Amino acid sequence: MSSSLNRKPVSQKGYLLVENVEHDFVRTQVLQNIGFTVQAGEVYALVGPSGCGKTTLLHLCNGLLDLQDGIIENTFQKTASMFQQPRLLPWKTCLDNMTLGLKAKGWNKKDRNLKGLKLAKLVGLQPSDLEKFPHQLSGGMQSRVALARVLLLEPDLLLLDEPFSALDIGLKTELYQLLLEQQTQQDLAVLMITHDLMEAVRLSDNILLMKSKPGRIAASFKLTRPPSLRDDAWVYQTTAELLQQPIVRESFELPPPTSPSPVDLATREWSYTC
Amino acid sequence: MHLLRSTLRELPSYLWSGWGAICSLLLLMAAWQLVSELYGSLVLAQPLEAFASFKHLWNNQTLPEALIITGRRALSGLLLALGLGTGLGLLAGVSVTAAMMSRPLVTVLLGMPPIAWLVLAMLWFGASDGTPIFTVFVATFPMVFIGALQGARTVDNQLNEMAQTLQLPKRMMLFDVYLPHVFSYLFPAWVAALGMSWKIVVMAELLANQDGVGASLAVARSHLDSAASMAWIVAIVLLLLGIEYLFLEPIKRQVERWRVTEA
Repeated sequence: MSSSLNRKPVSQKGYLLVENVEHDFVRTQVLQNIGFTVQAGEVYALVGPSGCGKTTLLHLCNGLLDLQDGIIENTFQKTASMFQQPRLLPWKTCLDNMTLGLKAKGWNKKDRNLKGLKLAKLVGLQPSDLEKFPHQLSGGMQSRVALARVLLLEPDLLLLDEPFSALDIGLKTELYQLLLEQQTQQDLAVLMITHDLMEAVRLSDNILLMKSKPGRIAASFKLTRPPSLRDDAWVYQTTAELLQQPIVRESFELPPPTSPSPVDLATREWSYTC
Repeated sequence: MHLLRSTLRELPSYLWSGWGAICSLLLLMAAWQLVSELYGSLVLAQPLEAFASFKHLWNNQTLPEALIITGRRALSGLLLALGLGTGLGLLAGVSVTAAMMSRPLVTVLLGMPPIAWLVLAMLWFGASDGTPIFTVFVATFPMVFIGALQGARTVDNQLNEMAQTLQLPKRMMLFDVYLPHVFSYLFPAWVAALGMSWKIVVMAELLANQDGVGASLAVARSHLDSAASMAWIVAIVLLLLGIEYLFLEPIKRQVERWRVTEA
């Protein structure tokens, strides 16, 4: 442990170090030689086709799977996870669901409800919604509750497994916006999974492109423009640029581009390493 | 405590909704009257005769005493089944092997007609309290066991993972994640077992015992006393209705509030 501490330049605020991680499910290798480091305030996106081991990797990071081979070091104080589904307890009201993490930390009911009510407003939940049970709310509202449940913990590392992928595009953008505000305000580190390249381009500083069979990191893209300055045009342009890259097409098993690129690659604001 | 308070708060509106039920019961009474007028009092006593007999039996203490004896037997067997069935069912549900092994056994138990158990029980326990208690126990145990087993086997792994990442302590895992889920399977099984126990105990007493509601029903039949027979039946049904609608249903509404989908 301490030797790897010395190897990596480390900020005071904590980091998530993944090194040489390999993982097998009954003789099938699902992850091969995975390595990257997420520092405080950085947003990393894991992008790749379905079944390339993204979720497995995330489960190794949040401890839902036991590490078989390699090093995962998480020196962040509070790690929080969001899943593809809201995963609310159906027998608890939304407020109780939101504050579940605080209850686990031993907060009393009054304090945690007070804190929950404050945050509910921020994520767009009405006080009347909070008394309801999850099944009485729409999918979007349930996702807001799940987001609030995570934000209430004031984490410094967030692991996101496509939490809003089932929502419509407007709602998805809104919730990601909420998340990004928190991210910049609190210097949150984020490791997110997505199979949507455009989403990754919009939100992240670094894109780790994964390839399947076995899951490995094929390339890593660094986006230099800060997220607050990324308008739609820039996002479309950059996504198109990335999709021109042979390595991206190969990883998503797209056919080679038929026509010469309509996009001028000279203006690109990203770099990549294989 | 909270549960009790909200149950009491909703009691008046719940009781008010009972008028509809009373109307349909009165229609049943009318049909009863019709049949008894067609076939005569010997075949089927008229409702008023039955109620008079009911009042008589109530006043001379026969009926309350019999109800207490029968109730005690039904409850003893039921409590035994609830305790053992819930405990063993949960244990079996936690282990895949135990679940696989116990399922066929329970299917055999479920398929066995209660009357067959009664025959065995009469051989083993004779005319004692043991016969109805054992029969009630053995008939309701598999229902409770299956409920507990299903509940424990179907605990949602997604919620489990969520709870793990929130670092819920063991006690909260039990009370906030596992038990509410298990209870949603257990409670209906308990209710079904209660209804079942009441029917089984009367049957067992009718054949095996000298006292209790079932035995009294047997005596009334042997005297060809149609009014008294109907009075006993009315007593049995009234008690079951009372337990179901004044006790279980309000609890069920509160406990399962989170399931009800708003229309």
